[in-house]
Amino acid sequence: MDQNEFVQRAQQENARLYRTALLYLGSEKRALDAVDEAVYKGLCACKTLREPAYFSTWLTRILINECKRALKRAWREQPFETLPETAEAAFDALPLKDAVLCLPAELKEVVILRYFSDFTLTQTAKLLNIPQGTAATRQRRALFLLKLALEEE
Amino acid sequence: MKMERNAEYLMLREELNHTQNDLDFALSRACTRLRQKKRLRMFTVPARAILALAVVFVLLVNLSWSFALACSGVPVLSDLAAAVAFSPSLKAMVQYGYVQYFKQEQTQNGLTMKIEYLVVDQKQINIYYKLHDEAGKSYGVFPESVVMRHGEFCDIVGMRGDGVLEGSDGLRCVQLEIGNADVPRTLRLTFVARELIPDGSGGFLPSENKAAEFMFSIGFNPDFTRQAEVYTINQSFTLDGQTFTVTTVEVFPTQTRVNLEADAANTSWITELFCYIEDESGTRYDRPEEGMLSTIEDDKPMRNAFRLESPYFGGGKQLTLYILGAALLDKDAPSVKVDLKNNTAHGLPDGITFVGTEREDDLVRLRFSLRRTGNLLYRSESGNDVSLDSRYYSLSDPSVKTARENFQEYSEYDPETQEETYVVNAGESSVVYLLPAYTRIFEAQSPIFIEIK
Repeated sequence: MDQNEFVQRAQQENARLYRTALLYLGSEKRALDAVDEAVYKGLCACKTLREPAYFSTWLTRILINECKRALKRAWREQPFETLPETAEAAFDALPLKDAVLCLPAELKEVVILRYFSDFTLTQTAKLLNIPQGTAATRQRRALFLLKLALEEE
Repeated sequence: MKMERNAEYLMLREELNHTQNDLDFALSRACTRLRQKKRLRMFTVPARAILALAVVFVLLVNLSWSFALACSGVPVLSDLAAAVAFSPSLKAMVQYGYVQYFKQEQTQNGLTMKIEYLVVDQKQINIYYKLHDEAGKSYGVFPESVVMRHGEFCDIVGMRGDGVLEGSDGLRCVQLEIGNADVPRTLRLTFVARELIPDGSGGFLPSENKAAEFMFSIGFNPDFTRQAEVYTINQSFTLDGQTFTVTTVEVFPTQTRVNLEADAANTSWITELFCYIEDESGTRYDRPEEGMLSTIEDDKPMRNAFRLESPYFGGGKQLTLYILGAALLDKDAPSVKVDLKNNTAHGLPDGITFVGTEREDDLVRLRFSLRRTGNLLYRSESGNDVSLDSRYYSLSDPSVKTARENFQEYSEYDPETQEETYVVNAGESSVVYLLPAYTRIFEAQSPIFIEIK
């Protein structure tokens, strides 16, 4: 993919990338920074993308890596604290956005990709480099904690 | 509950669909960064008086469009607003009118340099200028000397700018950082313009020939360079068994300096301090994204004056310093030895691989492969933080920690190849020694609070 094509396609991904980053990081500023960094890295590396059909998942993977780095750099400044899966009552008491933020990382990323970034279960599993069955299990556990009745595919 | 939660889900999706305005410019920022990456070089200077020759340095700009738009109603400041948008402290200074208009120009050999604005305080001088060539060629401008009224050199501890910008007639900046002394009433600055020559890899390097030389005598408005706020603290803290004392905190319009002293019994130096300042309203002042981060002590890797953004215009009545951790360098950490003759490197930290060297006369390019994730932290596969100090090297003394007689020409990092290149002037030497930037990162269990005011 050349840079011109990257620019055209990336423009359409901005909003979805931002939603993903915001639910990952819980901060608008960090989400914008992560999207900025991911778009820049994607632009630098677009020539390595052999299958343009996978553009969305490829760019999202770059973004997720940026979000993970941002979380590590954030030290103890994160505005949210992860809750254990046993804290069902605590999840129930939170607004949905906060509840998503407080999910254990492995559940949160499945929920974000499936229900806020609109990837299929297959795409989500590939993005996270996990078996589809694992993705399905984590999805089920996350929906249970969030008390959401959404299509599980 | 399920229906309510599902309704909440639909509302949240709708809320998240609102796209931030800044997102619209993510792509243009990415394109600008990519162009600049190919053309810019990094340069900083040691804590001694400057006799700079052909120096190359970088300014990476991250534009804040909302701020730029706010100033766009004042045409004379709109270009300055864009130029300072990357720095919260400089942005506040311009917003509060801490700007000195200069408007002097000189023309030589068809090349005109016009200094437009000065944004200056007791410790930092920001010179905003434009450069125009009648023939339309591209030039870079580099400070060659900075002297005070009686000819003595100014105590410059850091200098940065965007000297290598192809074909840009827009506003450029040279930033000078003063050490222990204050910005004097007047300075005589000599700038050299050099034509930019393609380097064959998509970037540009300045020609060795001077195209023009400009000398400006600049007088600074004493209202801007007056005494800043200095708070005496003298409070000690310990990180991983190492004890340091915050002696003073100085608040200038351009920056805050947290000044440290180290306990003589420490076995490690501190090379980076992770911290921030917060006022009573929760407004935070972080470490700067770029520019001078700290000052080094003479002949030691110990860093002592850590910079943060400035609360000078913030109006806060209470300020608290929060210390989160530090990068520490063991005093007995081994140097990295690069053998130019046999093209080998020994003593590299885990996570950094030696790629090779290329020599062109006295200049040698040292290439390393490492994954860079931020300004300072280079994470290895094992998750440990590793880094080489990209500023100093030695040609003959293996104890680099006490013999920092050489300062590298520049360094650059390519995120595509994940290679960092250091360019050093090795002369006829067949060995170059590099110093690790730190040997461990320590994170405090809980923040250490130090009240400033």
